[in-house]
Amino acid sequence: MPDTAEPVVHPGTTTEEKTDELKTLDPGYVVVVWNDPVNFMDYVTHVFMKVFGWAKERAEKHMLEVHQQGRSVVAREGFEKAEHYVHRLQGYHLQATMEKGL
Amino acid sequence: MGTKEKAFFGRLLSFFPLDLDSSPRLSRAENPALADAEALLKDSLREHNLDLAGWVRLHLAEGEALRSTRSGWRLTLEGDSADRLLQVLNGLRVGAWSMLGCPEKIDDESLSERPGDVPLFAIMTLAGQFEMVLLHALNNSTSPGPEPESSEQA
Repeated sequence: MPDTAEPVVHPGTTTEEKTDELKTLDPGYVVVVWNDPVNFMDYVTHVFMKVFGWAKERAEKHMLEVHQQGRSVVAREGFEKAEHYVHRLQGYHLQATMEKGL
Repeated sequence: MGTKEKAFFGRLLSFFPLDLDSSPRLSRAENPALADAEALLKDSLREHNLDLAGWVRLHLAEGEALRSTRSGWRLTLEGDSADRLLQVLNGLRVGAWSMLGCPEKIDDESLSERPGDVPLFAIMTLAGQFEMVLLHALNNSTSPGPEPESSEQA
């Protein structure tokens, strides 16, 4: 069994690692599609395929989440991209919002 | 579609867009910092719906998408036209529902209590009927995706 080497800490390394870690953990925004009693299930599937380029199976999975759980998180992005998706989804008259990620 | 259906279809499309001045929300959380972004969203949706209304007028109401055949009228949609028409029909359906007060369900009793709601209910129902026909046609015309490479794990 090889020996375990002691970690060597160079000055400055710690700060950089922390910054990278913060970037990785930045929650950004989640794009949420909410259930409503008016949009057809097949239509919601169609919109997910169109907006996100998903295969039918994945689109149906999220559509069923919306239908059964009341909402589905369909994307986690920075502000601008999340805003773009909300514009697109609301253009199709889905109940979509962006919420600060957890 | 038959002649009566074509007439209903044309009349229905003439109502689009129903909810041009709605105030969309970007987030369900109260966040005054999003006011500017929500104003942009409102403008963007308004422009999008006016663009769709122009497309309807140009391609469906006055265009040649509807052609007479021996058995009635045939609607031919090319490129992204089917997607646009779906947006229009769903926009009518959701717009009418929204103007009805976003009810969980609408039944005969609620309509008899508020007869003024009947025209909006008719728009919502008719748009839904045409939407389902179009979705069905799209689902049947979509070619199947590629076969999975293998069902076995490597």
